[in-house]
Amino acid sequence: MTKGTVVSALKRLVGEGLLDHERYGTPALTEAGRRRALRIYRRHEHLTFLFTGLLGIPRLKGEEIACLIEHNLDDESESRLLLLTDYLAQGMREGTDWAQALTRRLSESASLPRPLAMLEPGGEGRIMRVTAEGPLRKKLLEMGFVPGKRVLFRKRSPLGDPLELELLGTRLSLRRSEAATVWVCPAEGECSPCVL
Amino acid sequence: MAGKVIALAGNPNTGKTSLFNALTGSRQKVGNWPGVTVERKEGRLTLEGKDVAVVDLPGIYSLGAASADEQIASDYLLAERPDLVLVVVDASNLERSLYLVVQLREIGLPLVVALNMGDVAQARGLQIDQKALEDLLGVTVVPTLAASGKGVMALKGRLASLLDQDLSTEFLEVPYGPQLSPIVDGLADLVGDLARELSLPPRLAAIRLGEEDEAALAALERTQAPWLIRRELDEAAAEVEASLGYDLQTALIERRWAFVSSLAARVVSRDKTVREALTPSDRIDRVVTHRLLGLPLVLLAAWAVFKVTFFLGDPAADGLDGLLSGLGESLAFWLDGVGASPLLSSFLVDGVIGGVGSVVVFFPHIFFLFAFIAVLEDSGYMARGAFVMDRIMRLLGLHGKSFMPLLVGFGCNVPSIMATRILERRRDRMITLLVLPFISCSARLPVFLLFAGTFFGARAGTVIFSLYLLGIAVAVIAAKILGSTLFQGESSQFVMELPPYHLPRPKAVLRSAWERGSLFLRKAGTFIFLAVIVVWVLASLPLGVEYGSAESYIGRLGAMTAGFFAPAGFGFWQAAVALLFGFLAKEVVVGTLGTLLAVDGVNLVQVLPQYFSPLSAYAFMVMALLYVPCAAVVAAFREETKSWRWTAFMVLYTTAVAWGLSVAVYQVGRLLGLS
Repeated sequence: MTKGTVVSALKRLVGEGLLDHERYGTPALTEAGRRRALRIYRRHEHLTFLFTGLLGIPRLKGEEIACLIEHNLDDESESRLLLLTDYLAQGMREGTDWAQALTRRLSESASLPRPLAMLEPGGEGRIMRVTAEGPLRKKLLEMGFVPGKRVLFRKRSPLGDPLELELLGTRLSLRRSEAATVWVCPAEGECSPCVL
Repeated sequence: MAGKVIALAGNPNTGKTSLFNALTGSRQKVGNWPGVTVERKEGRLTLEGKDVAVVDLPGIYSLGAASADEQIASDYLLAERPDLVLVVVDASNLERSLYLVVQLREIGLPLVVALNMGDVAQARGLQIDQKALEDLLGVTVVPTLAASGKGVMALKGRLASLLDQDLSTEFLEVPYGPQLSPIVDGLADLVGDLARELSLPPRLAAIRLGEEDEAALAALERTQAPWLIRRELDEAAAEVEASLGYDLQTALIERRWAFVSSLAARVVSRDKTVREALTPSDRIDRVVTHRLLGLPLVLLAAWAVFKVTFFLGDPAADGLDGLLSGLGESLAFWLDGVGASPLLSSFLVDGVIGGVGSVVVFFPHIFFLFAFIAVLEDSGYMARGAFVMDRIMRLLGLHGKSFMPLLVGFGCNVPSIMATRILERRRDRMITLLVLPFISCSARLPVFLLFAGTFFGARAGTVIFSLYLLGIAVAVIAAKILGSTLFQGESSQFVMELPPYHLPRPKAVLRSAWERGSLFLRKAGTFIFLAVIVVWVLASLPLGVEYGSAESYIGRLGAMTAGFFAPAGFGFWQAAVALLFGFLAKEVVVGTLGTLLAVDGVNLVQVLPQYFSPLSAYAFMVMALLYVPCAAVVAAFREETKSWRWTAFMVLYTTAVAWGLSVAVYQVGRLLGLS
């Protein structure tokens, strides 16, 4: 941090009425400045708690993410996020059924649903849902891309797109953009439902 | 039984066409469905001495249509209600085929199931309990091997006895489960109007509405209070979403698939001792869609089709041409001998025989090209070719399958315009059709050879190559522009089956080639013949003028239009007449210039520089490259699009592009100080 950076930052804060600063004097926060600082601090603490305490992300990483988010959050999103955090924390303290299920699900983080196009060739998945719209959606569903069916990603075309899949005993070809609308889970084990 | 109609339906690649051929033999009629470019095949079948029509519907996987031909098939099945539907299913892949069967039974159509390809199923150790299938679905099942004609006699017998009975329609009830059934029933109570509109029972109307069927949604708007039902639907959808985690449409189709899977599980048993080895198909695929070999192989295959088509077609076309001009010459000689008027002689030789000639010379190329296309499609390679090429063709806003017609266009635009039939979606097809005329066909080469050879000497090769590139560039730009203006919106999709490879059947291949060729002769032939006669009339009248001279109508027309070409540097009547004659076939431009310019035994190459500068020669070649290819292309275009308006558009816009670019070449060239 250079002297210039500090000076220009101070000037900006003074300009916004958040800081009192006489030349060569000690800078002091104004009343408005103090309120703003406290609000960001509260946000930071809440977010850090959400990421580390509830979602189980390591302390340092959690704080880093909280730092990234806290400055870009508007008031409404903040208050809703705080209420959610509060509710989750309460449920976990009391050990309710849903909170236990949530904790279990969180520990199986590998089972996140993903678009079919994200699998590697040779990979297999169980279909969760189709997010395409209009005629393509209907076509995919009626071709058998329905929840529960297994689909095998066989290979990519020599130029990388389209993809060759195997579904219900037939080889099908889908463009990557089309395959991105089919959400799958790993072929084995539990998978969180997709709420998209 | 007479006058009854059997519709033939089934998934693509299940041997539907083979069965159609085996049933109806040569008694087929190929045409188009009204208003669209999708091919309609109808055949006649004699059952116990009575005539029955068989309509071959485009291959579909379900009743929900995504493309024009699927739309036709499902509309036909839903609205026309044929007396009997013959569904072809693939025994080696019963589960996929059964979805359509269940859907058709659900709407209460009387079905006969042709259980095809049992040999493949057996080889894979699959046993199908035919009796169970009949009982569970309420259908008649007849095993067939359509490719060899086995079981067709038995099938005819069953069809005959079924058509004699009164086929009361029973609706198969698909179990939609404890969550959906009450919702469906609740909706069914409200959709009485819609059900009458669709002539389906209320429960089915509700289901079709729930799965967002286009026809049902459109019919809903025609009922009295569509908003009321829409509100109910939204509520039902929210309820399903909350309990299942996905929407009503998905839920209904998922339940139907679950029913299909349970059916398949009950009727198919697998012999566990037969091990599913790597099939030959897989082994071929390893090479054909190999990461490095795939693309060169497609190009090689396409190049081979191109080469062999013209290798076989050229001598045949030349032979036909020689035969006809020999015939013309001897006829002219004979007419001269008996003292017939020169006008009659010219009419018969230049008009009639010339006209017939300009039609039949296309036959060999069309025949061979479609034989190869049939080989590629029948073997399963076409789908792989499209799979490999799709990425490249998509850069042009086209579908993977477009590469074949575009490539063939370098040989001759006429068969390539007919080859756009392999494109299922109207948008892809129209764009391909509209840019094809810019692809430089072999008939334009003589024009290039003459002018480039005369004016550019050693650089002739480069000049000709630049014209080919120009044609491609114009086609690419036109495809881009058309795709973002006239044909936007309708997004193209690539949900396509890659069928197992099998050996193409020679009979089917020859049949397809013959059908295409004779269809061309019958349909496009008339128009081309008429165009030739019209040009002959214009060139020979008023009475007494020399054929195609300045005094003839075409000469006067040339003189009138010459001014139009002045900004491009060749504003004299002979050039205009040559271009007008070029409408018969591009190579005629060379012959016409020869007749008109090289008089008194002077060589055309020697006189050309008196009329053209190298710059205006290049502008003339640009014009010849890009303006409307020939009468045969126009005829084929009209035949494929079934629209005179689009045909007129094609003629006008290609000519406008050609004129604009040749003027641009000449004017920019002059500004740059070229001459």
